[in-house]
Amino acid sequence: MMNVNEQDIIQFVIDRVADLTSRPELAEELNGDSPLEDAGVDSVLLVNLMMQIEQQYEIFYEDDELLQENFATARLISQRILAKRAVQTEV
Amino acid sequence: MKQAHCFLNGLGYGLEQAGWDERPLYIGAWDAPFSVTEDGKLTYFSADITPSEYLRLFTRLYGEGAVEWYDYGAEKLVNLKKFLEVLRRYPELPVLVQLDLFHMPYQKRTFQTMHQPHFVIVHGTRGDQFVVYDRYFEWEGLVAASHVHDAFLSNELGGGLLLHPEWLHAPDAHEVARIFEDTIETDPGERSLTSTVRRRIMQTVESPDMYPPGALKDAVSQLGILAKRKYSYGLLYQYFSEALNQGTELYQEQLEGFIRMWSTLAYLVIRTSMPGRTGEIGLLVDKVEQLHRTEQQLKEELIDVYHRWKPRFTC
Repeated sequence: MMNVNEQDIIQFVIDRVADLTSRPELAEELNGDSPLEDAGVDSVLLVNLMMQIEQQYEIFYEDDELLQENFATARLISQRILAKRAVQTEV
Repeated sequence: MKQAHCFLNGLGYGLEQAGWDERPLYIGAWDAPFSVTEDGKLTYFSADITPSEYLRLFTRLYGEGAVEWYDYGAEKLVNLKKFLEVLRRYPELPVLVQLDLFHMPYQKRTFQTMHQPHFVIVHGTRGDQFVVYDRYFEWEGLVAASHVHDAFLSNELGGGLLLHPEWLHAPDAHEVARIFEDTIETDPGERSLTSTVRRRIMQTVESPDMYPPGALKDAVSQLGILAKRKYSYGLLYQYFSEALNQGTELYQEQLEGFIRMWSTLAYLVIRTSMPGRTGEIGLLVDKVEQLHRTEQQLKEELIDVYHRWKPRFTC
């Protein structure tokens, strides 16, 4: 499993959001605490983002994690990814 | 007050002004009507859904304190003129009006991106700005008149009431009981949200040519709004429980979990609509069944607290 840190993941999420919304300027405008909903991330884009994250970071979101509040900002997403990967490493 | 239903939340503003308990108004809002479009999209608004039933309920509970000024047979511009005239003549009274969220700057999710009919309260003006109370989104503030005019004119539906808080009275317990019993005895059956969602999912399996899996994501795009109506169970549970000096924390927790389950279902449906994921449809049906069982349980608990409330407050 590759080594990643919070900032790398935040940048990945922001880049994916810019791509999924077809708004490249968001890559510069967003930061880790920007609400993704305000950037135009609706539920369909969010599911796309979740699937790309699962693939990129080799994690799997359980059903009860699929809540908008868990994906509200790039930082919250990053923290959850790191927590999930830490559990996987322990196992 | 929970986001449950924008029209009822708006009427609730008038009740709050009058000092009356608005919770009985939400009786039955858990099964508030919704539509399914020809291409299978569940939608909270349509020309067939009018607030007339809720207006009748409001009048039964609180009296004749809401006057409809919107004319459904007239042109938009005529209605805009009526709206502005009502505001001019009654600057001290709250006006409930349906607007298009596309033009409302405070709702960033939809502003300049998505057209959505939505009821708000306009309670007076300040210069070129309208004083807006949006209890559904827990927002209040000033909105430029030009935005409100655009939001009125671009709204695909329409509707509006003038509220007279001083004409309203407290809800009578006997009337609350009658309405609750009539409502709870009406089984929504196939019209319920769970039945409709289950049927829509199965259409993808049974008629994929007409209802392709990829269309499922659009079908559930308003599921979050429809699920929020279920908060009305909690408002009534709280209304009856408070009178009995009984706590509601456990019920509210179960209800929050139930509404989160709807949100999870929406994400799962969207995921299933992605290419190569249709094998997960069985899982969706299981989730819907689970939601149905949980809702029945919440309803039974509400009926139970009602039966304890009734003999003490209606005799």
